[in-house]
Parts: sequence; structure tokens; C-alpha cells
Amino acid sequence: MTEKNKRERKLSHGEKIFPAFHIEADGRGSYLSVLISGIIGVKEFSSEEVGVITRRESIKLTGKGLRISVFEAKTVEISGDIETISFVSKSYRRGKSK
Amino acid sequence: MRIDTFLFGGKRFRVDKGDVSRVAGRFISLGLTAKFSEDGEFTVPLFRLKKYRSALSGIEYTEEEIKCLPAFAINLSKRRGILAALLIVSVYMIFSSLFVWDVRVSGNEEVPTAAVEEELAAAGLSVGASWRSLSFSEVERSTLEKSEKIGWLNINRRGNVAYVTVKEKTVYEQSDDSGLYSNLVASRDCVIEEITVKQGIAHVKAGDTVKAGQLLISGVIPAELGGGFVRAEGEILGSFSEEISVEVPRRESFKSYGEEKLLSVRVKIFKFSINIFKNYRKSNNDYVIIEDVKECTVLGKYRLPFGIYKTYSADVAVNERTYSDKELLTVASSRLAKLRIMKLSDSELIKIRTYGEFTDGGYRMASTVSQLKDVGEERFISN
Repeated sequence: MTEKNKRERKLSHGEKIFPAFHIEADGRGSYLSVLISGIIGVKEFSSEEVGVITRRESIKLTGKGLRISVFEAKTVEISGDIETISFVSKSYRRGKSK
Repeated sequence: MRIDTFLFGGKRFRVDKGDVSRVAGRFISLGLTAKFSEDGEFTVPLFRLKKYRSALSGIEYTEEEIKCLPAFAINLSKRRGILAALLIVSVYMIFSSLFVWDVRVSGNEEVPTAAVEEELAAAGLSVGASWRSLSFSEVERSTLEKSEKIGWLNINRRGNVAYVTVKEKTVYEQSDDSGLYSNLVASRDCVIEEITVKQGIAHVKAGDTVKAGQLLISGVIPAELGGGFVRAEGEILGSFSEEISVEVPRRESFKSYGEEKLLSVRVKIFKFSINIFKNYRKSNNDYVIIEDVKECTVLGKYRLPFGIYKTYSADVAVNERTYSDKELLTVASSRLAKLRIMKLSDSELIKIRTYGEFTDGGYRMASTVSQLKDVGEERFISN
């Protein structure tokens, strides 16, 4: 069995249907508002850096004067002068391989 | 600020900047909402305080009351002057919205606006009239009935202003046909059976064969009888034969309608309509839309300004049918009978002879109808 097949087998039915997260952005000049749904938690928050965790990835946003709003349905909105958005994939085997 | 916080009041919470991520994480897992400021502040509506407090257990925070609408209302009760002013303004606004503020007329070119406004005022629509007592359709009907210059009229309300669009009557030049003097001529080829002259001079007698357009009674009085012109009047009965026929094809297509399915339900209140239900057709077949309007009335006389509009769709299927010889005869016979009734609606039947034959495509049935009809046609004498 290949590595890809193993990974697919481990995905639950729900994960196959629904994406890990959904992201959309709306900008007005340098002000950007990023809406991310499918959030599990907030890793870090400051006016320069925000880190959020989704089911499969963690997302990091940097900029100036960042604000965070928490909505229902596991959705957060990060707004401010956002400069970068980076995605870091989490390993599926994390916590299992010892 | 959230609308519920503004309306019912709330509290402003402040947590340490370093704790924002922790608090946000807890709110996400508990399904609570919050909008954090740069200082770690967020507002909470009064009726959800307990949930937020329990979510913040173990975290240091401060609470501060927000003065919103309830606090504003309490403060206002102490300032009676402002309260009175607000009350007066709202009463004035409500009161003034009951009356027509302005009537704006458009679409008129020849007829002056003032004349249209005068006619509208006579029908009940004028500045200061009450909207409640106004029925636009009644005003439109009454104005059109009385006006000699307006041919079409539409009234719309926007805010407190009535917008009236008019179209003037087109005046055509009087045609020569409208003169007072006329002749009577034959409307078709026939044999004159009977002629009765009420006014004018007869130019034919019973038994004469005439062609279409031939003069029967003249409105010109000869000089020996006094001269002059009259409007020719009389009754001229002519007999003639005519063939009417129908052909029924052996294979014929006809439409049939399927079951009615509800497509949409719409409630219309005044000029606003609200969609209550809407369905979309799933098949691509041909269909017809049937609209069912139920308007509400009081005692079946006074129409209320709301109604329920339902639309249904019904599939249309085109089917083909092949007639047997016997069926062909029956169908052709019934169709010919209908045609005959139409043709004889204004004449008297003298004799009828019907015959039929099978053709390559189906069956042809024809009748030769001898009938008696008033064949006099009025032709006005031009000046």
C-alpha cells in the first residue's frame, strides 16, 4: 500500500466531504479582512501576528494593527493591515508514531 | 457594537492582550461570538453574561457597563424638553405621512399640467388629500371618464408624493365617411328577394341579380323630385349560395395538460410583494404557467390592499391521434356544424346540401348553403 493510499484510508468520511477550512478575504486599500472558517483554536494573538489552527493546517497572519473577531460555526475574522498569510501543514501521523 | 447590545444594553469586558488567543480559543469551542479590540476589549450582551463569565473562568478580566438605548431612554426621561421635542417630531412625521404632499404630472405635451391637476383634484387627488381615502383605480377611472383630452392615466405613490403619468388622446381628422348623406350598395353578389325603402330612391327591384358594390338605394334625390341629398335607409334582402367546407386529417396532433404543480406563493401588501414559497421546475418539458390571484375584499365590495398570488405550472404534452373512418365522419360533421352556425348567425337558411369525400390526407366535408341576408351596405356620400 502506497503512502498516499494509507493517508486516504485514514481520512474520515466527514473530512472527505468537507474541506479542512475555508478562507476568504475582502480588501479596502491596505486594510484587509480575512474570514477563516473551520477553526479549532487560536494559537497566538498580538497586533502584529495571529496564528490560528484548523483541522489539517495552521495559518499564520502577520501585519500591523491586527484585530480578531470570533463568530459562531468556528469562524474567525482577522482584520487590519495584513502583510502575509502562511499555511503550515500538520502531519497526520503526529502523536501516533513514537 | 452589536445591535442586541445597543438595544438591550451590555458589558464591556477587558482581558490581557496575552490572554486574547486563549479566550478566543475558548469562545470558538463554546460557540460564543466576540469582536476583540487591539486592547483586548470586547462587548457582551446582558442576557448572555453568564455564559461569557463561565467561559472566562480562570482568566483575569474586568467588566464595565455600557450605556446604550435603555440608559439613553432613562436619561431622556429626566430631560423632558428633548423628550417632548422627539414626541412632537414623531407625531408630526406620522401625521404628515397620512396626506398627499405633492402631485407631479408627466407625459403631457398639449394639455397643460394645471389642467391635468385640476381634473385630478376633481376626482379626489390633490395636495392635502388623505392617502387612506384615495383609491388610485377610482381616481384613474373617474378622470378618464370626465376628461376629453386624457387618453390614459397611471398614478404611483412614492413616499408622500403622487406621480401621475398621462397620455393624451390622439385626435384624428374626421373622415369623409362621417357625412350625413349616404347610399346603400350591395355587400355581395346576390338575387334581390325583397326591397323596402324607408328613405331614398330604389335602383333595383325584387328578382334583380346584383353585383357586389352595385347601387341599391340612392341618397341622391333627382331634381324632378325636389333634389338634394338624404341618408338612404331601407331593408334589402338578397339570396345567395355559399360553400363552406372543413377538412379533417387522419392523423392529428393535440395538446394535453398534466397535473398542476405549485410554483410560487406571493403575498402582496400595497405595492410590496413578499415571496412565501418558490419552487423550481425540474423537467425541461413544455409547460404553461397558470396564475391564481386571490384578492381580499370586505363584503365582496371593498378591495383590501393585500392579496395572495399563486402560480402553478402544468406540463404540456403534444399527442397524436389517428381517426378511424367513422370517427373522421363524426369530427368533420361536428366541425362543419359549428362553422355553419357561425356563418348563419346573421342570415336565414333557405336550403342546404351537404356532401363529403375521403381524400389522401383524411376526410373533406362541405355544404352548399343557400341563405337570405340583408345585403345593404351604407356608403357615405363625400362632400
